[in-house]
Amino acid sequence: MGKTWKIFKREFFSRIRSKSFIVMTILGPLFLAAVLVVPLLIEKYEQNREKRVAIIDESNLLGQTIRDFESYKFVIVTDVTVDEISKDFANSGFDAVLFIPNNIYSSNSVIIYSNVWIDNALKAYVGYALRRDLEYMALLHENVAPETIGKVSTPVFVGVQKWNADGENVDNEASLEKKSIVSTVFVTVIYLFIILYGVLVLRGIIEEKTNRVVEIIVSSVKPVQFMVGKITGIGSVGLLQFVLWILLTFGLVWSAQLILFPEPYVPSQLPEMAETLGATTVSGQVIVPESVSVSYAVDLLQTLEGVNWLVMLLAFVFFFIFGYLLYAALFAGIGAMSDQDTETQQFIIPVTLPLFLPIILLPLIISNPNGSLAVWLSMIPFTSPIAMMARLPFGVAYWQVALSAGILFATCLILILLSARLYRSGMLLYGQKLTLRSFFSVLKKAQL
Amino acid sequence: MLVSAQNITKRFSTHAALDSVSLEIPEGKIYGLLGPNGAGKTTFIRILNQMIQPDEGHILINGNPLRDSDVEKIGYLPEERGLYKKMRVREQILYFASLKGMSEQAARQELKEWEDRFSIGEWRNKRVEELSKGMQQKVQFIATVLHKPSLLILDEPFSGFDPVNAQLIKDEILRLRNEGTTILLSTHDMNSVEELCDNISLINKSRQIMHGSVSEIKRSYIGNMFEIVFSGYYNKLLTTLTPSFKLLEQKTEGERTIVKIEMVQNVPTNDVVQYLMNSGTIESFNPIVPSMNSIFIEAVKQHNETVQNG
Repeated sequence: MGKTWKIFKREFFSRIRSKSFIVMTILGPLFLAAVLVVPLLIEKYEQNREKRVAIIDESNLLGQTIRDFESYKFVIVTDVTVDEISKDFANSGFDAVLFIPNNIYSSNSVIIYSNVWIDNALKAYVGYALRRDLEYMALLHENVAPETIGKVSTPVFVGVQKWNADGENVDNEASLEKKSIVSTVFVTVIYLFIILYGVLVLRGIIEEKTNRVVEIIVSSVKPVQFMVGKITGIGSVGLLQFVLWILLTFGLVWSAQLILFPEPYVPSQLPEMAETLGATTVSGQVIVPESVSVSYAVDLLQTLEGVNWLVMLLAFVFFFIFGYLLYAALFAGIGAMSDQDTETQQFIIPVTLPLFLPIILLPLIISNPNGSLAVWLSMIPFTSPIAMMARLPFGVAYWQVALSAGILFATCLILILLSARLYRSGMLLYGQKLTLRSFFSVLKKAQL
Repeated sequence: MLVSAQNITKRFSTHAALDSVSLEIPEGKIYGLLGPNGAGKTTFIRILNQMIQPDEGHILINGNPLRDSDVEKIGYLPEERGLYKKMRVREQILYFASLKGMSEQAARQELKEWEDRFSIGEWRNKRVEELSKGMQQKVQFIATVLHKPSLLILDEPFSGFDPVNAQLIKDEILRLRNEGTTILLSTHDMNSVEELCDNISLINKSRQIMHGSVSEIKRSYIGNMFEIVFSGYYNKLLTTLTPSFKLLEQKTEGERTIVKIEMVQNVPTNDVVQYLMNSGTIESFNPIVPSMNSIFIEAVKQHNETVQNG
């Protein structure tokens, strides 16, 4: 094992001292933090700026019921047509025009004109407010008493409550949504990590072949020692980078939050949210649930209290590491079989396809985490790192986790041994084209 | 370290790379492994390095079968040199030494000596890609010998060196031999074979066609050719008109005439000398010793013909 450790050390230290590692370690969190912070920043800026919406109301009634909403200020303008206001819109002092045609009672449609992006919140709000008013008026027209209308229009909120096998409450709709977010994050992280660092293993092995260092290595150490050292070395670089990214990104976002949003920030999709949550409204007055706050992560953690965090984290680390090892061994095998970078490109896609499959099927897995598709995908070792991570936040029977982990572990061992065999015999194939035939002939002759 | 290869046979899918090759590399000698391109030398070296396994036969080291741990006692300079381009010289050498099981401290100490010997100390922190080709070759050589192998396998060690540096490497090889290292030298450079090798083995088309000590092989090829130097008077006519030998070549250099002859039958040398005395004053009479180069060519040609004729 001494030599494995030496190879590990070289792979690890030569990489973390390289410029590209340092640059990526700094740029990655900056980029991630920017992705997280900039939209909030833009939204905050947009939110604080008052936006004026002109209402041209041919019905002469409905426009008056629309109250100001968030940063939108509604102003009823008269004696102006849409055509007229459009001619000098830039100087009109308005950001948008809401046109209510006089045939609204039959057409049920209005138009918002603008030269800027109209966000969904505004659309939803206007639609919501007008719908209520139209319904109200239609019913009044039918001589329904206002009190009756109030009763009729009471929205019904349908909650979903998931039970576990013992009939205990597990998930409701909101927590399911949050769990699917956790699931997506896990899956993305594992996928990216495997692809990025698996390809690095491939590159490293091809580099040694083009450098001809391979002959010196094979005459000094056993291929298995070499493979294990190399794969774990590069994997540790990836792990280190990953941890640094998370810490730095959190640090950056946290400090950005402190500086930019000292008071709790309220996201703007509230009318929609209120609608789905069944908040009662009186024409234009949206009652917002109070608890929505910026500390989304804290909220998430609370939601996931039902999940066994220890199992979850252990499983994450396990599938993360062994998923990487499995694919790194596959990539190493490809590298061992060929000595040109360009030639291997065509092999990367078919090899990573099984990894990509559960990503495509992610919505199906999340919507039915214990269905047979999800269960099978989480047992097949080539898809299990992704599929199992997608399922885990929703709760998976321990025996399934254990079985899947066992299969993955065994497959990893076999593949690493196999790639080591290929490394020794593939070494003699300088400049030979990688074909299926040569692949199998080498595999057959391969010796440990 | 005494290496004995016994009936080594290795087949690849399309052809046999080695066909029952046996050879004995004596301890503390330089052993030349010769042969045309594709003869099977590299395959033999790879078997010795345990990179591939022979189909038949086995290798004994000091009488014991080859073991995994033997790789640490072997230093191997492959024909295709290999260094990590981005690594620094010193790191690289120490890394390879550590893969051969050498302790870091011992390696550092040894490296200092080699840096002085090859005067490359100032390059130790340069990246390999910044070095000239000759310099890289030196680094590679040091990386091969640093762990003090008892068997040193050198595949074309002089390629890429200028004459000055080639001599430097030759001197180091001889010094290592004198210190007891067994050396297997595979090369096409026949001059260096004559200079360095104690024994050789010639492989052609996967078979061993000649082996033995360099001096014995040369003696066996001496044959019937002689070079005679006449000083002063020389009668060409007399030399030409004789049935007992054939005149191959003659040239005059100032006062001297140099004549090469090949004896026809088993004529006693004394008779020839006596006869030649009539042609002029003999200054020297020497058998012509063939170069390893011509022996190599001759032997390979002969073997190819036998193979072709079945």
